[in-house]
Amino acid sequence: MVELKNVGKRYGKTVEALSDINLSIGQGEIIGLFGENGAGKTTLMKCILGFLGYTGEILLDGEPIDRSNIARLSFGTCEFSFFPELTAMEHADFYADHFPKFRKERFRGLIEFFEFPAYRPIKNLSMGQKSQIEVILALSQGADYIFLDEPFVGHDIFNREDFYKVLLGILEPTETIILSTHLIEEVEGFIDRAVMIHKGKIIGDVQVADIEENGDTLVEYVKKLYGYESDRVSRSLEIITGEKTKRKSEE
Amino acid sequence: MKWLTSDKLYPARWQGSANAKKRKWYAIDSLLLLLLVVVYSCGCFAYRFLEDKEHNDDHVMLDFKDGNYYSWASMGSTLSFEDCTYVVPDVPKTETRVRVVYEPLPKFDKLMYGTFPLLPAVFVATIFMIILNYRSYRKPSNGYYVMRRLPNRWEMHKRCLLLPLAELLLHVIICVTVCLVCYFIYWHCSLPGRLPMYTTFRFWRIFAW
Repeated sequence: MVELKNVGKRYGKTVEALSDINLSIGQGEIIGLFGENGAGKTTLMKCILGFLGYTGEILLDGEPIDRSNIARLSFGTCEFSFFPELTAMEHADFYADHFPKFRKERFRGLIEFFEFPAYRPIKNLSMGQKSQIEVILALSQGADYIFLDEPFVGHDIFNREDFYKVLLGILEPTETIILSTHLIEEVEGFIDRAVMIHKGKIIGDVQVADIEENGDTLVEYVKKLYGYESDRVSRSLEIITGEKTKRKSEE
Repeated sequence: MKWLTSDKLYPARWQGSANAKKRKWYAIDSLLLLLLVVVYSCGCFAYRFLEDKEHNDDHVMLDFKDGNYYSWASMGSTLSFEDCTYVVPDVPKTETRVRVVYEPLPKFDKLMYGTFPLLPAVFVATIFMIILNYRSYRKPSNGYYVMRRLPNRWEMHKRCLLLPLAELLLHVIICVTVCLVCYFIYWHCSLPGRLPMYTTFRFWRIFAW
């Protein structure tokens, strides 16, 4: 279990990216992490992985996360963390050398599934292919907790749908996925739990099954939680078009 | 040579089979540079050591039949070591003929001055290379995120620091070795009476530009 206790993160003196985060992530869960741009989703993941300093405590099975247990966490990010000069197979060799539980068979299977060019340097591939290899490596590392930060950037819809099905098929009961994405409608069908972040604070943490029992959808639930005003677009357009009309009449 | 071009020693910008040629040429260029340093410095030393300099006209040098050169000096004076290798004994003032064996050799650090012009450049290049190596894990992709998650905390530092520092160290070792060998030759192989007196060894002058 990954436990976060009173975790906070401040950038400089004024920007509080995370504030008083308390969260527990159990084994075997598929968690969707949602929030608007700048909510703190990526910052939260980076704090858990030790890339950023933070206040509070983050524990993995009761122990602080350090080099002795960091291999139990993997990370796939839209910022890309691969080595551009290496091919996919060379990445597999690198991961196999450094991560004892690297799953070579799963890696090969996913490469074949995506019809990925395994022997070309990653730097020469498209954006979509780059994000594919990012996800493939995160899933194949052999980690217990897999953090995916907006992993579907550049993936076409067919790729995404196939990927969701493959994901559910390959995951083991002890593997946990923490998935940060804006594609709420697409992922609501396979995640177990939704955690909502707003301006650095967790404002919602629900089981998707409970939302569905109440006859709601995850999208509607998130909209209500964020206080989304559905008429704000029409109000803004009125202001914008009203200003245009006024300018025309003045001219 | 295979271990020197192994993927496992190089940083992100030179990893992979696509960069095998780059690694190979880096290794060859480094070895050639070391060879150049040795050849140049030994050559400079040899040229200066064996150079048959004409005698200084500032002193009265008389070519006697016995093949030796002599200069006039007042008794009680000490000729500077630039002029000859003999110290005149302290006796009442009369002139005496002082035997100057040969034009004395310059001091060792003067002899070796500027024979290692590349060493400061290698030092600067090492720093530059280390910066580039670490930067390759941030741009164009954040391979840094993988290196930070490796169980071996030293892997990234090994790849970024090992080869540049090893090259710098090798340069320093070779320069020091060449210096010591040349110094040995200077002391033991120079003609009798040619060694200057008061040889204060300002070693840092050797590595000046």
